[in-house]
Amino acid sequence: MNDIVLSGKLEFLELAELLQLIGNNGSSGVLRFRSPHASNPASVYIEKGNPINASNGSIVGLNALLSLFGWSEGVFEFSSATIPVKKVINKSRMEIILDGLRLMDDGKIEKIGPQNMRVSSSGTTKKLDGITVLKGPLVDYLYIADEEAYHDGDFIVEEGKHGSWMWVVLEGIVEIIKQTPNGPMSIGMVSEGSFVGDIATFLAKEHVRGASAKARGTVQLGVIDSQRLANEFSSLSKEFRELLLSFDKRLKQVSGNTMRIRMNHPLLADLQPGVAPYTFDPSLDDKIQMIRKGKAVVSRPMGQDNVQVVLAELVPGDFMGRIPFLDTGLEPHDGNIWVSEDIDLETVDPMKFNDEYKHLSATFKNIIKHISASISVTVQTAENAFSKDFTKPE
Amino acid sequence: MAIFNLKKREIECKLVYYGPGRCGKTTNLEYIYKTFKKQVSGDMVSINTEGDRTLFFDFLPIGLGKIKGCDVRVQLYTVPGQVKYKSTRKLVLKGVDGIIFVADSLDVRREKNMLSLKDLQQNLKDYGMSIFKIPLILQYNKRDLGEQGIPIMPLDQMEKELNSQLKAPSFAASALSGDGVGKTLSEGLKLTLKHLQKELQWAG
Repeated sequence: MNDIVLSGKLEFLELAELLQLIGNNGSSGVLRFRSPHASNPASVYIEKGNPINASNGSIVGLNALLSLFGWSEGVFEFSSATIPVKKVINKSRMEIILDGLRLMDDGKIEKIGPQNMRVSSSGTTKKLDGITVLKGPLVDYLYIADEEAYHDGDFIVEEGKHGSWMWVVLEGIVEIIKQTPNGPMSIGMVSEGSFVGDIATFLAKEHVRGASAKARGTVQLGVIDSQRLANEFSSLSKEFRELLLSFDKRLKQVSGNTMRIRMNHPLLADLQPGVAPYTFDPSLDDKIQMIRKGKAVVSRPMGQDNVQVVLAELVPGDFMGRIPFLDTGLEPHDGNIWVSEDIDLETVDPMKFNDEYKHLSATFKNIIKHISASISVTVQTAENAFSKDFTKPE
Repeated sequence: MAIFNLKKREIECKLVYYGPGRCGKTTNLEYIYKTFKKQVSGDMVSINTEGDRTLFFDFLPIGLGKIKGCDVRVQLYTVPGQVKYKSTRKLVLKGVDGIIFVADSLDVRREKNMLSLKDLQQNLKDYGMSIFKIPLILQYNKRDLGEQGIPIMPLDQMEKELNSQLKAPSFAASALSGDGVGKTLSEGLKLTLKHLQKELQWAG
């Protein structure tokens, strides 16, 4: 009876594909699942290609089957047999599959699998005051010159004041705050491995802080050896330095525009004067573009109506496109670009930066990772704020 | 990539309706489901996705012949436009055999059409396909609104803006009344099956 006719890994064949495959074949039997991330195995009972019942822990029936869409890792086994199980699922196969995937994209099915920083809607990442707490990569102690402790409510830096220190969070959570016409607004929460301060911090002697940083609870910080970072930065090629500064600036713009959205004043791309949608040339898809002349606007569709909301404005010297080691979760795939009529672009191969990137110190690489993670987390915050507060009047 | 079902001696292929939100993809499919009831096998699956609906049903084309002695069954789908529905989009676009891109003729949707077409190109690319190679039909929908005095784009403008590089067959339509829906579908089916036959000849 227990005749295993098909087995494999969910990483290779997901539940949706598996159900289609068995469905097309019109088979009957039991589909069993085990995952290192789940405490108990689960089963789906199939009759002539259609799921009729399922169990996952204490849940049974359709809900059990739907919950399995969240399993991204594990093994499955299909035993061909006639099964004496009561039919409780009456929806069609494709309806279950499409609904399962929809629920997962809506964040209504818990994802079970390896931790992923991008998966914040499923509740696997920590949140504080509704803001995703950004965790950084493993701390590199080589560049830490000193350690400092702060107590709950202490300000580490204050917006508008001068200073050239940069810190890495060793323990605890730091809140990043900006002044707005409506009073102070929290723009981000960072924890272990994240940085306080940006690339511009260690470049200018009298750098003006663009935001305040406040300790939430007890915080342990590592003071970064700025001199070493500045030396390393100056040894890089001019183009690579410009690239890094462009994305450092991008983070500030994305934060600023997120604040606008939260204050209910989003900039809409189609209302920006003198720009039109730009399409990335498919043959240059793995290349990035540097703006020589004109301006470009980066937007992302948000809310029910997919309104194009502005997140950043790029000027000559700025870069756009997908950089392998600096993934912002925006253009070319999840964001859109609008350009002015007089735009003049130079195609750059990001692979030439790869070598320089590889030779960077661990701390510098971490700072770059922090920038790209901060941008994508901030964009998510913007999206959440937008769908909550703002609907475009038709 | 069509699926061969040896048990049923059937070839199953996928035709996907793509386009910006509320362009009339679902209206197209609803009209087909209603009008060609005899050629539909099974129920229409309708999933409410934010801002749009995802539809699916099986369709048996008549009069287009068999391929290598097998009957052809076509799965018709629409794709939710919202960025966040990436799992659904992945399932629907994986192994797609033909695309019908429904563009909205409304003046105010001009940019949405362009962005959606660009999005389609990127999504196909993610699954190793090229928008220039896959059987593709363009439909300029909602032509009827022009008669009601609502500003719509002239056909030659849409053709120029959306189709000057693709050079895909294109049709004007008013999905609500059904005008052009059947024509778009049958041309889409013809193109898809022709493409399949050609691929199979290479293989066989």
